[in-house]
Amino acid sequence: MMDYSRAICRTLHEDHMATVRVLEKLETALIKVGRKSPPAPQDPDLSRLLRDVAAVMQSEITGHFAFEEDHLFPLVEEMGETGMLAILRDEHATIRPLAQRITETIRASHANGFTPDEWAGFYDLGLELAERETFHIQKEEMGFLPLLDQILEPEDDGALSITFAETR
Amino acid sequence: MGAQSRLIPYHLPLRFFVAAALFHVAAWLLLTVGHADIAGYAGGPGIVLASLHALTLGALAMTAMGAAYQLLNVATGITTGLAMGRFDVASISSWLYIPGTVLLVAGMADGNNTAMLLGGGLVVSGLIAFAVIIGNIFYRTVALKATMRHGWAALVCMVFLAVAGLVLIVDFELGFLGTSALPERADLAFSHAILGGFGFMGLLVLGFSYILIPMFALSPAPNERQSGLSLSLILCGLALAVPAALAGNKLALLLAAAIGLAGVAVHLMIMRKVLREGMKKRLGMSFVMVRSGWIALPLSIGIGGLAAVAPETFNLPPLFIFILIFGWLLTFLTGILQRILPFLTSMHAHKLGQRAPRLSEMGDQGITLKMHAVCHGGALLLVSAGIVGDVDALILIGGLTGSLGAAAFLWFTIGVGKLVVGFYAKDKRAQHP
Repeated sequence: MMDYSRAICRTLHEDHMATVRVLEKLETALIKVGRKSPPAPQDPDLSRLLRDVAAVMQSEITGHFAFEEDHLFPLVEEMGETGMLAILRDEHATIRPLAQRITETIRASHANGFTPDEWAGFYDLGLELAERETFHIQKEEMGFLPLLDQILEPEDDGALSITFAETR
Repeated sequence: MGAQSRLIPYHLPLRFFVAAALFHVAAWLLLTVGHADIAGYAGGPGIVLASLHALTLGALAMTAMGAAYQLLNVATGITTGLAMGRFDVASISSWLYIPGTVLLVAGMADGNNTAMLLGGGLVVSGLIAFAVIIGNIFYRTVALKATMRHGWAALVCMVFLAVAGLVLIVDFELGFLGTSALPERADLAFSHAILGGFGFMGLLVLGFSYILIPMFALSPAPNERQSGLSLSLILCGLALAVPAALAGNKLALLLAAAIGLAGVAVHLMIMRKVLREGMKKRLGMSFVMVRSGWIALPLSIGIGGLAAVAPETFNLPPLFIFILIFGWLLTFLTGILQRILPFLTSMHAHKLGQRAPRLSEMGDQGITLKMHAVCHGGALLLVSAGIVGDVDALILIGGLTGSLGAAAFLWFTIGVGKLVVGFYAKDKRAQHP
């Protein structure tokens, strides 16, 4: 990981930090509550955390992933870097349904909380999402963003930053 | 080149990692068998020497070779695929090094000089092939300066280490050390241990830490000036310690330990900063091992310094070797290896377009790695207490506990290895139904 010179790389890095931070909180909360029995209904701290998770993951798959796939991957692909992009695209395809499911489950739990079975499913889903998303971010931070930072021209950087802001 | 296209053939690092896991078990078992000779060990062939080299050459350097081939390829984009005619030099290094280590360790256990000499020759040849490959990468890369500087210094230490090792083997037969101007055998053996533990292996491990720890913690790259200061101090310590050990100069050894400790303190402060600034705070079982290794590192230098001035007290020389090899290097490397193996396996799955299992589901980690950590920690405490108190029974129980932990780690390694082999078998079936 490095200090990025391009604004779009810094913005994506900040996005990564926010995502890892909220997923770390989710992991901690899930392990604290345990898989066997659901948390107390209307726990204010957990409710707030779950709302944050839903918001961050929705933004991740609709804004962040889509922007990378539509605007950034093609730039890197032009350099012949197809191998790295195949991995990143494959991971997006794996994470998207997980993020969608967790967002829907959190929304459904607002009204009635979790039954023990629903909680067990949510527990497994949350830990899987946290692990896969973090592993994905590790790869983007180590390989993709440093490369993007090298190849982007300043004028493209500005235009991409505006486009990313508009997609969110 | 992208990270995926930088993946080397899976069987190359895997053969080193599986061999390392097998030698890891063998080292603890040999320690268990030789438990009655550990506390008072003062050199010479036999089970204790075999255990020590099963661990240093068989587990530690073996892991470093497999990891270096893959990680340097990914981190620098420079291929490890040097060819010699039809043969890949990395493969040649494995054909020389792995059977060479088996032969050397068996020769040491049996006191067979011919086997030791032949095994030692093969091991050194394998290490030369390794040095050619990674030296080529160090020479061609301009990035990762901290890792490259440590790597060069490690290779220089490796040359002296190999020469000292071969001289010690020949001396078993001819007994020329200690005559005329040559150093005493015990002094050369002590400098060999310093060159191996702190020089070759120690510097490789510290150097790779500057890539791996920030990668796992999602942290900014460490400050190069600080890593340069740490390396300079450690090299000063080594440059003083090796001749001091050869000359049997206790005061110089104590000074070298103090300088080495200062260098390690700077390194550990850098690592602490990396973890503090890292995005990822929950780092799991692997970092319990990594942190435990970091505790054992300065401890080993401190005990080494004391062993130089008061060798008769509390069996300090064998305690120093045990904490250095089993405490610092083995603990740290098993911590790192339990992250690298699933990481690489997942990359290979994606390369083949197959769904990768979750990293934490690979190799029955819930059982294997927890069992390894508990047994490894218990074994370190038991054997250390046994050495200090001269209680062979504690060393025996510690050895058995360590063997159980090593077996659990072998189970993990084979479990993850089977996954990657399975991915390629599935891919082959899909291509040739």
